[in-house]
Amino acid sequence: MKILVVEDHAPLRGSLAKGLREAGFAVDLAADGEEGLWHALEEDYDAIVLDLMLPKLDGLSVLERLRAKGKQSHVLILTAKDAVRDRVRGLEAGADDYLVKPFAFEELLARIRALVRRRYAAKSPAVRVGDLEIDRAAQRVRRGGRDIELTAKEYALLELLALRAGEIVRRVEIWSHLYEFAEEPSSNLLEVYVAQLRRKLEAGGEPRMIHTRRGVGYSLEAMS
Amino acid sequence: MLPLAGLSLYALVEDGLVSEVDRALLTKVRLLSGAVDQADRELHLEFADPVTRDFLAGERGEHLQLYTAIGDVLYRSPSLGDHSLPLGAVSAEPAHAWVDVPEAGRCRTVTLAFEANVGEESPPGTVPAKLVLVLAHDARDVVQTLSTLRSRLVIVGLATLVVTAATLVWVVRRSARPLVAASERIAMIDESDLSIRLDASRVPSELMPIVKRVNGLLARLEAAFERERSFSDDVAHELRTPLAALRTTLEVENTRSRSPEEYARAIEAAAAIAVELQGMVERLLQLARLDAGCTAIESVRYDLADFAVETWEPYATRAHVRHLRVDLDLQHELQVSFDRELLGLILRNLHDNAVTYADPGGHVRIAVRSDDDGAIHLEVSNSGSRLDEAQASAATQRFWRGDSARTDAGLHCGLGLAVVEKATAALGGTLKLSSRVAGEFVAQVVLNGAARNPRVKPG
Repeated sequence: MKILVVEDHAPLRGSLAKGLREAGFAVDLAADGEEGLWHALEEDYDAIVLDLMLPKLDGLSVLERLRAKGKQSHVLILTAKDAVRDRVRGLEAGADDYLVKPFAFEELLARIRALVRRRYAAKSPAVRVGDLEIDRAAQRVRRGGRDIELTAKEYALLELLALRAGEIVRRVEIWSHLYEFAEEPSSNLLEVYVAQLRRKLEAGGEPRMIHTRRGVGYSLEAMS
Repeated sequence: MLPLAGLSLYALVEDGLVSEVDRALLTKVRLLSGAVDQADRELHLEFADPVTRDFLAGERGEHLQLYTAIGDVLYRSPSLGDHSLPLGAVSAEPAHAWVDVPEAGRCRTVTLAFEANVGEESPPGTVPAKLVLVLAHDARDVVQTLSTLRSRLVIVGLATLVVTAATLVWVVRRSARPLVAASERIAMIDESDLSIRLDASRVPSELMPIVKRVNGLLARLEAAFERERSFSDDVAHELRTPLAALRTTLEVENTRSRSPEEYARAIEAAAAIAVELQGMVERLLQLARLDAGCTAIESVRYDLADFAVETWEPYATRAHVRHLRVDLDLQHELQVSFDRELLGLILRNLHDNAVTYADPGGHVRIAVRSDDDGAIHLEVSNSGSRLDEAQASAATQRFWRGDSARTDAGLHCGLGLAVVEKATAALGGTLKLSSRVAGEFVAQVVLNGAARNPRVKPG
């Protein structure tokens, strides 16, 4: 899952990036409104964390321009402005959620995950595909009652495929959701992750779930 | 005015009616006085004969009485019965008076002193008798007329008074309607909505200046409240953001076990945020103190160059870490007695600004000098400015954040130059900021002599 954080306070921006990356998200960062808007228009983020008082272009203007361009990315406003009128303005401008600084990082994480679930129309944090169970709140994966330990990137890859189970997910989409703006795409690296994931999912002799669609991408399916 | 007009009218009518009666009485009394003839020592009263008597008395409502000069009654008209017409003070001129005659009621009288007509048949040298004739006229109709007039005047007066009072109340209420409307609008105004204005088009022209002044006052209040609200928002933002950064940093680091190096980096990051918070709180307190009205206190004289170096020392390490070249251009033996605390506030904020925003490897310059007029010039500049001239002049605004330089430096606190400006003003000086992109940012403080400080504390 890929998140954009638009925050002008460098220490907060850094901490958010670190915490979100460790939680399995790919994170792009922007330090002002103009840069944030550019990223948001260029990429298809699963969620955008947006400060309101930003240099160059304020957060509300970023949000309004984003919506005017038809971008439907879920936006969580993260701001020090706590007055009711500010919340109302933010939500009316097209925000999906609003969190006032200072906040508990766990709460921010929970809200971002809720926004991502909304994107994939999943009401429950648990995803089940055949005998594969993914608890997205705890980031735990089980297959046939067996716990599977995954790295952050492996988990992110599996979660994306599971949320779109039965569909072919294109390689470029996987890249854009798993990797950050500055990282160079490498097909080889993706295949390495897929191989590792397959090995862990099939360690108990279970049938293959991740299928390669040559020249297109991958799909997650429970074969009967 | 109304009672006065009524009284005047009444007096006019009364005077007219009574004068008419008096004129008639006087004519008649003169006529009657001519009807007293004297033959030697005998008096012949023509009005005593029955025909004249009838003419004078009874139904015509007139009565007469003739006295001698010493007050003996010579004749009394039968209409008086047993009563008398009083003989008042007798003078040469006819005198009028009001008299109440029993059964006849209120009468108007005229008293005339005269001499009897001495007939030709009287012996020569006959002395004419001195007589006094009192003639009374029944004036009940005049009294009645005046009474009626009085009653009507009172009724009309009262009615006019009531109508006038009612009209007055109506007119006052009607003309006060715009005032009532204005007061109702004023009552709607509170701190949550100062956008309400009085409608100048609906008030009388006499009240226009007041309405304009009130609207002007409301506009100023609204602007002041907006500034205050905006400042509070900014304060909240500036404090909440580093607090959020501090909390997030600590919480994220605490989500898992980390290496000692990672913990050391996290502690360093948290300490940097705490320092930022401390600086912000200190500047807010400085601003609050300056806003509350700071009085400069003249200090004992000290060397300005030494003071500039002393205030620079805490920033020297940061300058060294950032590889900044520091140029000190200080005029020595420059003794001043400016308030040390305020001047220290100015210099420390300017030093902090320069060290923070100078480009890595750039330079900072601190200059102190006096000019021919005795004015003191303090100048702190740094290289690598990212501001243009217009941005520099806006940099004294509180929480101004138009520059990406601050963002890049990880700082929000747009308060330092606001503090410098306030403190400079408290010392009676001026602050000038100038900058060009990729060039120098220069802050110049000019102070017009230490002796100009408003209060002197004995050294």
